[in-house]
Amino acid sequence: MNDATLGTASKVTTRLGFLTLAVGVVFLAYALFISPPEISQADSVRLFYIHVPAAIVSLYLAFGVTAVGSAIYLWKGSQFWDLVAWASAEIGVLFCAFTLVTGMLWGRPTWGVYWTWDARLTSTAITFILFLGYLAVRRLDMPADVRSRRAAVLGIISFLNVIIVRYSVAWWRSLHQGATLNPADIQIDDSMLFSFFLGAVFESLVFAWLLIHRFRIGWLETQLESAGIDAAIEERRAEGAQ
Amino acid sequence: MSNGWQYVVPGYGFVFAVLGAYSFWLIRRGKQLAKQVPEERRRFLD
Amino acid sequence: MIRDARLIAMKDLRIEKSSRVLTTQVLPFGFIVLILFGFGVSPDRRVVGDANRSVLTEVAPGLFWIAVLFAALLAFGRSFAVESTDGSLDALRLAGIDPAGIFLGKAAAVFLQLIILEVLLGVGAVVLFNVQLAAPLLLIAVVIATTVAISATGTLYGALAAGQSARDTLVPLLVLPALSPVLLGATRATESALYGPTSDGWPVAGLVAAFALLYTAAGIVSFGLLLDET
Repeated sequence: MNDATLGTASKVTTRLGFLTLAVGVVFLAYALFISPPEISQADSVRLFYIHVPAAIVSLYLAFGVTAVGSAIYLWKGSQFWDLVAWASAEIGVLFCAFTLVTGMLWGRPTWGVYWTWDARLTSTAITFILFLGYLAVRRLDMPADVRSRRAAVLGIISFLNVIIVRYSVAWWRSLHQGATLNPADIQIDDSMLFSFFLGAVFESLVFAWLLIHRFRIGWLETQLESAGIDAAIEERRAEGAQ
Repeated sequence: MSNGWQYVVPGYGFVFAVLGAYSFWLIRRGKQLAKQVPEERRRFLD
Repeated sequence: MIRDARLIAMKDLRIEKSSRVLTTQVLPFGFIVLILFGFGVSPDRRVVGDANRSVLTEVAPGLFWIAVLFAALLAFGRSFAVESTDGSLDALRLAGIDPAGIFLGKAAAVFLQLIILEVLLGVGAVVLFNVQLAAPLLLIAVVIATTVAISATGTLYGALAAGQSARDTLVPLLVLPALSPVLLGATRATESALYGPTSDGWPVAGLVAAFALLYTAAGIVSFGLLLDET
């Protein structure tokens, strides 16, 4: 039972929230001030501390959870996993946008242009649109269980698509070996690695915190819907009893 | 090559601003919904 | 399953034969897209360092496949528009027709229509973009693999959005990013069929075929889930 004034928060999420904030402060300190600028990329390398973890959290963690949740929903019909899949996809799209924006901002000083048709950036853009499509299906106006079932099928296929798109674009770009600075070529020291690590921890915590809240909103929405239906049935019964 | 701060600041600014706005929206929407949902249904699985 | 598929395919093709939407609407649309590509790329532009080769000819394979994709979107819309009246998909299910059969049948009907469309648009591209056809075997393989991939994907996503007023906008949003690997592969393979070496094109055509099989399998497995209205 929850106090209405708390909304979707609970003891667990409050603690998780404070932990996330604390890690966030340390992360910012390391990412922006303590770690040194990189030799060839100067300070723009700092964008990577957000970019790389965001890509991993979005493409593999968030969309992976969507695929697994969708599969469990189709298998067991559990509403819990259906809502988890939805919440995870929405947050995944958000992190995907972070990946794209930080990637483009990194590309500008490094390559001189915002967009270079780099394999990873391009496939991330396609993935972003794939999951916007998933979110669009979740908004379709149809019976909830039909929509959930269709969304679950789409969630699984879209995750497979992420993998297919990623490999095919990488292969396509490898045919046109251009003058691209490979992100893996960065000169790395320990405080930079630590910044990456903190970024990954921070963004995973943010993901978890957002996921719980977003899930609970979906949960409350379905409760509201079914409460409305129950109330309507009660009303009919009362009418019938008269 | 420029030092890159003019790209780093908007990048971090964008990410944290969007995260803040989204979190704010989530919490507000959660509170709105919690008020509407009858108490016996306002139960989370934690 | 196969028998049901044939029934459904024959039904869709019969509807097409009497309505002629493909030849009177989709095909002209494809042609105007090809002509607009000519405007967009400018036919006089030459490849840097080679005044004899026009950019338009060089990028013709990609333009051709994009035109096919756009026209295919109309064909998918049509494929499910003929079902949406009076809940005829439900009726098919109630009549005991296997959902996998419905998928295969509708995909096969779209496939045949697209093949006709591609041949005609292909002639258009050859004429408009000044393309010399070469390596016919590779070309045929690419066209078949790509068309299976496009029809299977379009039918699968068409069912996802079936019965929705938002279908016309949703299907392109779902289909185009999903087919982006196919467009890449089809374009590369067609390029190598036209401009050589063909040894580069065969493995790519194989990848497109693998994608086509994957989507056909996904459609067979999931179509029942997508069509169930209860």
